Amino acid sequence: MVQQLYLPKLELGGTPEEQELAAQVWNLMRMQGFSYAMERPISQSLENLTTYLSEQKYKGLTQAEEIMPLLEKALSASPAVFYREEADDGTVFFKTNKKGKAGSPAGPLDQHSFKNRLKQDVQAVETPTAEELAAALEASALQAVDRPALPSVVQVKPAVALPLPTAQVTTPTPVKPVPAPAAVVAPRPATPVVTEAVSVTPAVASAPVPPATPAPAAIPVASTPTPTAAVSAPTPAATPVAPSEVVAPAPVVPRLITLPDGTVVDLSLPTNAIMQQHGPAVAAVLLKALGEDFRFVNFANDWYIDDMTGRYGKGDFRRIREFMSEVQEPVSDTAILRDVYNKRTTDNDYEATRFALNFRLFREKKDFEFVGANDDRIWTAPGVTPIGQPRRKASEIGTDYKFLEDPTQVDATELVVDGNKKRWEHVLTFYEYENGVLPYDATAKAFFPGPLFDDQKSLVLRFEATQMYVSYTAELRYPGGTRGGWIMGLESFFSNNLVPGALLIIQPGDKSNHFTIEYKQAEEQEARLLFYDDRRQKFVFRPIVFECSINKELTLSSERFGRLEGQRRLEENERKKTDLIVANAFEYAGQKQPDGGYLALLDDLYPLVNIERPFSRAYLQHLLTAGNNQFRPDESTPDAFFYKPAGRR
Amino acid sequence: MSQEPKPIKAGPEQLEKLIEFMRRNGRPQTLEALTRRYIEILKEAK
Repeated sequence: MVQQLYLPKLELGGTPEEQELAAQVWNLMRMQGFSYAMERPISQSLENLTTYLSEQKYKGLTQAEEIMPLLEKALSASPAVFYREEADDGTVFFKTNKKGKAGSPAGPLDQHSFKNRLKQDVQAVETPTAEELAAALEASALQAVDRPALPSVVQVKPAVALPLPTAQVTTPTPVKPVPAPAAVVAPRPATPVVTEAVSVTPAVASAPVPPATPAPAAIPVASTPTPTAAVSAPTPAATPVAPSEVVAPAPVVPRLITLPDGTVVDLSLPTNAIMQQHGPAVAAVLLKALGEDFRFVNFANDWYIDDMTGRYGKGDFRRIREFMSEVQEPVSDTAILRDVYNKRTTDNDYEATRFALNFRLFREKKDFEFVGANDDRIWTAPGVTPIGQPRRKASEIGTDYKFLEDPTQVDATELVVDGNKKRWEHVLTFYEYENGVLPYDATAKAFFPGPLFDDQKSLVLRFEATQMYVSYTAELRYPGGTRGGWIMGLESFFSNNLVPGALLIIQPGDKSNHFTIEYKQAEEQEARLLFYDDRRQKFVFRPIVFECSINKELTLSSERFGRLEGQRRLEENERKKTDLIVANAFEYAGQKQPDGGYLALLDDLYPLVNIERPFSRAYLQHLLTAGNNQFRPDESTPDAFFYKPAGRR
Repeated sequence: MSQEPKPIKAGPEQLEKLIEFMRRNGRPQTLEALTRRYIEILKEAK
C-alpha cells in the first residue's frame, strides 16, 4: 500500500478548534485522493463533509445544521489550505491538494507532472531518410578500413531494423570476425582464457540476400591479426573490448569440510549442489545440534526459537476443547486459528502463531491428540465423537487385522501406477462392507501417509466421493502392539452405493491425507446377495439393485452360496478360531467327498472366510497349507484344497 | 591449492546465526531451509 510518508505542514488559520477540524478534513480529503498527483486538486462538497462528520458524531453533534456552519467557518479560516468554490446551483465545494495547498480554482486540465520528471531536452528519435542512412553507411565503411585491428572477441548484435535502400546495401554480409592476437591477451598459462568464436548476426534482418553474393560463414579466430578491410557492412553495434578487460576468472580454491561419515564436501560448490549431494548428511549434523540447544523448538519438521513461540494458557486449551466439542469431530490447526482466535492467513504472524499452537498442543498429551499429517495438522481430544461406527469394536477389528503385520501374509499390491499418478483399486469384502473398513495392508502403507510422530496412533483422512459430491471423514488406525492397522468410517459410503464384491478406486487428493473415493460404475443390475438380518439374527439373501461394477468371484450370491441362507453368526469365541472359520467355509462351498471330507477352490473359500473375519489370500493359503493338518492341498488341481473334519475316516 | 578438510561442526557461532536468520524471518523454518542457511553460513565463514 502506498503511503504518503512526508506530510506537509499545513498553514491553518482560525481558533485551535477550527484548526483541528480543518486538519481532520484535510486528512480525510488526502486519503480520498491517495492516488492523485501531489498538486492535483481534491474537491469535496461542504454537504458531503457535513454528512460524514455528523455520522462520526463530531463533538457529539449529529445534526447537519449544527455542523455545517462550524465546518464552513473552520475551512474558510484556512484559505491557504482550502479553496472555497461555489457552483451555479449554490453547492459549496472546498478544494485542496496533497501538498496542503488550496486547490487552483480553474487550473489547466494537464496537471500531471510526468513532463517535469522526464528530461525535457531530449530530442525525438526520428527514422533516418534513405539518403542519410546511405551516407552513414559509407562513412562507417571508410572508418572501418582505417580502423586498426581489433584485438579481442567482438559480438555483433543486430542493429535496429531500418528501411535500407537495396541499391547501396547489396547484402547483409556478416562482419568478419576480428581475430584476437595472442600477444594482446594477458598470458595466463595456468588458467586458459576461453575464447569463443565470433557470433555475427546480419545487421539488417529484413534485407533480402541475393543469391550471387553468398554470405560468408563466420571465420574462426586466427592466430595472426588481420585488418578488417574486407568488412562490407557497417558494424555500428560492434564494441571492441580492450585487452585489459579480458580477465580470466580467479582460480577457485576448494574449501573442504568432512562429514561424520568421512565424506569430504567442497564448500566452494554452489549451495544447491551441496544440498543435492550431501543435504541429508548435513541436515543430520544440524538436527543433532538443534536438538541439543534449548533455544530451538520444533514441531515435526518445523523449527523455531523458543522465546519467540507464543504461550498458551489453561483458558486457551479450554476454549480449544470447547470448540472441538462444538464441532464434534477432530479439527485442523487452521480451523482453530480461524474460528477460535480470528486469525487470518494474511496476518504477518500467522505462520508463527500456527507453529506455536501446534507446538503447545503437542505438549498437552493428556488433553489433545495429534491425528493429522504434515500438511494438514489435525487435533482431537477425549470426548470428541469417534469417527465411524463399525459393527465390531475397534479393538476387535485391530486384532482381526493383526495378520497384516506379517509380511508373508500380505497379498500382491493393489496399487495401480499410471505415469506419475497412483490409485488403489480394491475389491470390497463382506467384512469390510459390514464394518465400513479397509485394511491397512502393504498397498495401503504405500498409498497413505505414515505417522508423523512415533507415538501417533491415528490419522484423519478426508475422502471426497466425487460421484455423489459428498465428503467423508475417516480414520486410519496405525498398527501397534498386537493390532494391525485399518481405515474406518466408510460404512455409509459403502452401504449407500456398493455391495460386497464392488471395485473401489481411491486416488490421492490435494493434501497427503485427502483422497477421492469412487466405485466403478456399471449398468443397473439385480442380484440376490447375502446380508445379515439383525432382527432375525440370521444371514439371508435379498434381491438388491445396484449400479456398481462387481467382481463375481468375490460376490456372495445365492446361486453360489445358497447354503448360507438362514445360517447364524459364529459365536465370538468361535470367530477367534481361524481354522473353524475356514472349516465352515468348506462346508458351505466345498464338494462333498466320499471320505466325508470336502474339496473347495481358494476362490470360493476366500469370500466366505471374509464374512466373519478379514483374511488375505496369502493368509488363507498359509492356513490351508501350513496350518491345521485337517487341510491339505489337492496336488492335481492348483488352488484346490481338501478339508477332512477330525474324527472321520 | 586446497586447504586441509575440517570436520563439520554446528557450533555456537553458526547456531547464533541461525537464530538471527529465524528472528529476521519471523516465522518457523523447515529443517531443509535451516540446512540450506547453515551451508551458506559455513561458506561465509573465513
